Amino acid sequence: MKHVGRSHPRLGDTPFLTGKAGFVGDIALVDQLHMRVVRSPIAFGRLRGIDAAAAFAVPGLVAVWTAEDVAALPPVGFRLAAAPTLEPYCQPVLAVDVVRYVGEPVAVVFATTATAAEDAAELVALDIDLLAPVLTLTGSSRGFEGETRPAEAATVRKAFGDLAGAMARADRVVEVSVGLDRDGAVPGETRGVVARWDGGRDVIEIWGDARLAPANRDALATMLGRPLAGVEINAVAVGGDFGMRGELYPEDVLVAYAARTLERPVRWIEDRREHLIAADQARAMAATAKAAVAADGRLLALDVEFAIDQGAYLRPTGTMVADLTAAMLPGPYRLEAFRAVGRVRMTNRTPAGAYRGAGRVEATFVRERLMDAVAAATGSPPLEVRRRSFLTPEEMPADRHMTTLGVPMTIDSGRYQSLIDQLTKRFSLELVHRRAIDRRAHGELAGVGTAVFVETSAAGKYEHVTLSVDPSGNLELVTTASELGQGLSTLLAQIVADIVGADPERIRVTHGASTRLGDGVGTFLARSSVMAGTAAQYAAELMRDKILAGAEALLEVPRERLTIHSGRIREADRHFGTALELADLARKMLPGGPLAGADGRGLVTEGWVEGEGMTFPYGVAVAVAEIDAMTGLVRVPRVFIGYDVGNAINPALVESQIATGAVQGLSSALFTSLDVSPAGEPLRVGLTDYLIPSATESPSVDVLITEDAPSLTNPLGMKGAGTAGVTGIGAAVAAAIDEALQVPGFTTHLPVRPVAIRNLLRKRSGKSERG
Amino acid sequence: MSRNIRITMEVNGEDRTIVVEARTTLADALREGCHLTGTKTGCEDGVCGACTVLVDGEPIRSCLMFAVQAHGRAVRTVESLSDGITLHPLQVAFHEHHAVGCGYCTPGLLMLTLGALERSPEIDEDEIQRVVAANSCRCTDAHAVVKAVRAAQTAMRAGRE
Ligand code: FES
Ligand code: FES
Repeated sequence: MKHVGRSHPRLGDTPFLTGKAGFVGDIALVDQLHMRVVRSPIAFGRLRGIDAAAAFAVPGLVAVWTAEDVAALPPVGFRLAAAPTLEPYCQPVLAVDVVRYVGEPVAVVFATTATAAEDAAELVALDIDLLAPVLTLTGSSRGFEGETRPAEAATVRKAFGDLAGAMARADRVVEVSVGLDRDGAVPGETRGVVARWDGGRDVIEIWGDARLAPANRDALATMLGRPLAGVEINAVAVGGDFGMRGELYPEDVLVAYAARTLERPVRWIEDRREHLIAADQARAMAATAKAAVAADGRLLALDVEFAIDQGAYLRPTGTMVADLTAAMLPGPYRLEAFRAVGRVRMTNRTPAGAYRGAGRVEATFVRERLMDAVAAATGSPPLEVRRRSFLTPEEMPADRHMTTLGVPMTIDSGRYQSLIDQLTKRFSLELVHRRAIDRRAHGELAGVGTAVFVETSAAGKYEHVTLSVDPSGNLELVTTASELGQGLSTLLAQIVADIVGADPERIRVTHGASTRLGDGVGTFLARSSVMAGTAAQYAAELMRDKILAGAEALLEVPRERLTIHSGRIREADRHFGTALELADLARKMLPGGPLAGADGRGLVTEGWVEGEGMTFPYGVAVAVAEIDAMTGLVRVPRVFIGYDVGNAINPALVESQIATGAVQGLSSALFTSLDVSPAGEPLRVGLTDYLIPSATESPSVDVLITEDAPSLTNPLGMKGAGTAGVTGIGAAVAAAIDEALQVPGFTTHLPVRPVAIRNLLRKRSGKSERG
Repeated sequence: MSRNIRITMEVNGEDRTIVVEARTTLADALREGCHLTGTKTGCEDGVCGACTVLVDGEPIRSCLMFAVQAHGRAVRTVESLSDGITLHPLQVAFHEHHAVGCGYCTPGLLMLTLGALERSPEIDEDEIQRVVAANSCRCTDAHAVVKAVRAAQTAMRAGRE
């Protein structure tokens, strides 16, 4: 049976269903200490002193550290695109002299119980002189009072073509100013890390998110002055990542350092308040975008200036979000000229990092809002405006004449109009549109909005897996890529199963295994299924060869006449009778024996894949919005998403990734933002203030996945899907609201404020009452 | 500082006597005192429901209940659902309907919906949706969870007959 393409239920669900899965908070080591972080309650200020005397009265307290005690540790550096000019923006593991956001780690306490650590941390007194915080993007770029670093940490510029010429030739220029509020991943499980120094081996063993284990191990080893082999990061089960988790944080460094220095295991589990003020946030940006439009309605050029609210420090992702935002702005459209200027602006807010769909969500919102404005300005239907300017399949692969994250951008494939047509047909979207018109005719506020987007996945230099068959016929695939609940293990097992001829249930996927492989890159930018999948494919092909070569020698039957099914090797022209069990062959092929294969290693293979460029999957998001005229509240009952994955290894897993991504995107569009008071104090500090949409608010998400444009960058034609649901939803909801209100360009900012809608409606009814 | 108190509760059918502080929550008592780490905490504020367990058959947020309040009562956690070989129909349904994402909220959702199905075996889809909405989940399609619970309901009914 073929496994690729089947909606196989996820392998490895059982531990999660039975409570046996080991999350970081489930680890308890003998003699462990609990770390608690003392965080700045002030958004911006000079740190005059820290008095920990009272904390020492708490029974069980072992140590209190401030910046002086960790002076040996450098600030947290960059995983991507380091540059000397960016160094002043790196975060020290504990604040030195200045505090720059509410939640910044200022001191840490270690105690024998979690409650003692909490009690002691509350008794650490901070003496801070207040400075005026900068909380918005409107400040001066040079710097702010009391700060030595310029407020603009970096400026990203991308351009191609003759912009001035295109603007001059344009029939009209349409402009929008739009923006997004801060939001965050806010996963089910907060952050946490456990470390122990194994003195016998002189290794610091760490348990935590291993999404970026190889990079983090290297960074930690360097920061702690140890050989790479002196740090091990072990994967644990992870309660949601979404790009927020896994990057190196100050707390990770502190726990590792403390485990070595205090010579006791150290455990740090974040509480929800800490999570909401100290874990990476994202999305906040403001943009002004101009489109040059020809007389026939086609796009000629885009010119966009945007600023990203980076918060108080740069994170290991550096300027990645700004870079991706700029690069993804052109989206699916043909352009003669393009210019983007992205400003990475520092504020006294929690540092911003990557969050699911980083850069693509932002770019899509700006561009698609602009496309809707073009439609309004030219009096054409929104879908027609888009259709005119889509790159056509004949233009693929399309060179974008720019690089992103250092990789040249060539859109590998895409059939944009066809995807819209298929989505329209599959879900009778004509009817959905007509129903909204009908409802408006009856005085209801209902609308439908569409956004088209291009995604990217599979950046990163290489990926490496090993595959082996044990003497009982079980297979193991080892990868450094991580299972984060996206079903990676299942996808990889399906790929291997088909090629080798084994049952997926007999294939164990060991993920996040940097301790076993020593290399690999990790999981980000929806790259894992593509990179690890391709590496797994290569390893599986080599394995099949080895198996057939071994069987040929053993059975004295030419390999052309052999097949492998469910781990049984048979002669193809014989309908019954197993010639050889895989287990028997594995035993005969053990290393050192006469049948160990040409390399003498037995049934062990490796798969190695080098970055073959990015792939650019694409999609369409359609949202239905209905507005309650009394309250101004927006409800989105239905969402439709079309997405081309190139090759859907497991359609149900892709669909579920897309559906959940759509709910997260909807959450940012309607409900959740991480806002602060005028003094910079976070207003969302618990799940009572930060409202995660539940089953009642979640729209029904209808997903159409197509395989029309297989990627040319990998033999299976795969494209990542982890962020597809989230990318277009904000722009689609904004358009749907505009249509419901019959005010083009009304929604410039997400999340939408019901009060703004109420004001509009009140003004309107006031007018009609008077008129 | 805080007084230690000895409590006895029935956990998954077995009497357990543990020593807790007055401020220890049932969630912590189960996780640390009884080493049953299947019960999770996501907010310790009574909102997310990751910590849901059954106390005398009723789903409760174990982060909001003090361990001393569970003295003399019967507590069931996710660990009670399966003997390690056969899965409970709810667990099977969650698996088959792709209703497990990262899995962090899963124990709480299982116990919440189990409590609801045991109390009212015939609840309809809308009611199931309302029950599921009591817990938050950041990475599973809520509609898949509702479908899974519906399927489990059918399987459990067949099991009773
Ligand atoms: S941890 Fe108990 S409700 Fe969230
Ligand atoms: S499955 Fe991840 S929070 Fe529910």
